[in-house]
Amino acid sequence: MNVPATPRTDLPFLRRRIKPGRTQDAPGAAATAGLSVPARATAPSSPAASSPSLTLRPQATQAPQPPARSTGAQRPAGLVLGGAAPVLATDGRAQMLAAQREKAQNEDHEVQLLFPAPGIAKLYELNLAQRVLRLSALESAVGTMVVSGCSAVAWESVRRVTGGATADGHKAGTPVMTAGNRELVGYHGKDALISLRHVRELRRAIFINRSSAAMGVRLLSGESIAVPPATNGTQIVLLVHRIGNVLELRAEPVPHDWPDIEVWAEFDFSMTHRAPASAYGR
Amino acid sequence: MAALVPGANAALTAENPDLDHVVVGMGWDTIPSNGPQVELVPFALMCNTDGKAISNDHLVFFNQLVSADASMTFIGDADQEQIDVLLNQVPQDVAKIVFLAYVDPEVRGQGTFASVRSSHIRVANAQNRELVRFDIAAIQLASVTAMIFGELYRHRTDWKFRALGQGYSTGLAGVAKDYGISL
Repeated sequence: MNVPATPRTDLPFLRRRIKPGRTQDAPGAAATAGLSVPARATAPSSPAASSPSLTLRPQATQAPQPPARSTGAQRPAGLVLGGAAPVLATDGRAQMLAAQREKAQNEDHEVQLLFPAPGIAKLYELNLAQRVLRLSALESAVGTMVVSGCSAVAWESVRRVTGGATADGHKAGTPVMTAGNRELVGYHGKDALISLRHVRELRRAIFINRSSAAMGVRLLSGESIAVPPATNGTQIVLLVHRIGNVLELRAEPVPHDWPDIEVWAEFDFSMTHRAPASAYGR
Repeated sequence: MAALVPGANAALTAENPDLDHVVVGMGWDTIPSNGPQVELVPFALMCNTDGKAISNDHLVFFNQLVSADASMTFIGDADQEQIDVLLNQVPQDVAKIVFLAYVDPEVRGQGTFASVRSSHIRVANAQNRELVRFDIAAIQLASVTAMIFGELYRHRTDWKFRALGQGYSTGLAGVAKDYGISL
């Protein structure tokens, strides 16, 4: 193998392959690369300088560091294994706030990647021709989504807790209770509901209509939309799923003669069950 | 730390010239219940000089964590809810930022502020040093379903805070109507 005459000391992973004695040949090279590199060349007696092994942790001389974006500094283009982020002179709470700000900015980034879809005010019916609509962040989070004319509902939370219920009181799986002592998805009288205050706990829900009348979806704003009943052997299941901070409503066709359990399977719902205490064998 | 009364205001940046970042904390206690509980939702919106919300993208709450200009962020910490405001990044067309809480209009028993105690709003700097605080008196709240706790507002080149404690019996819908938010 050819050994270059001038070692690439600007790249940490290459520099680690050079014998410790040779790293002192070009002590200033790292500074020109714009990276924050620990000054190992000036302290050859330290364990870090003499160790040829890969280090994934920040150097011990550096304080815990916040994400680079929160400081307004540029992100390094390559992979950072630790220790290369700039050090801030701010206190811990400011760093914590900056980290939380960055986390919040990243949390719902996938919504920006979605293809355009109409809002609920633009449509009067979800059907096989117009199959999808998307709510705004505010519409997705205030009050209750009421689905009338729905004979059965199944839900899945972000923790993959799954359950189902019918309008006449049959239940399967596990309910998801919210901090307000209400079910995240369930029935109130003959109407199926989603508690939008806790929409962040919802992954998805399906609403099945066995009647000959349309289902209706209503929001706090008074906006509503209809989902037609079964025709020509096809029924439309309303799928409500959360993408980031918005809810998307989709009309999904399934054969009319499928029982609810087959519809669950089609949507990959598998009911979670609480094990009875008697099953605890110790 | 200064405790305010309803309607009182406090100079923030004039008193603290280096202040470019505040954390507004809103907190309360809810009387526990075995049944459906009242659920308060904190909310902040940016208004123009006409007192109207600039857009639905210029508000933050639990389901919209960052405002369109990224100057306001919804975060959770020691208070029940906190809203982080970078004062020097707030757009010039924002004349004030209103902080409120509404009772979630849940159809299975909504409730009111009558079951809420110890409501307060506080403004602190980034180091959590409390600058001003406003404790809201728990009187005549039986029909209140939304409340404006206070507002940050521009005064010439400075930022000030005003304590309000203004209740609405029409909930978020009433607030939305007053401030021009489309629900």
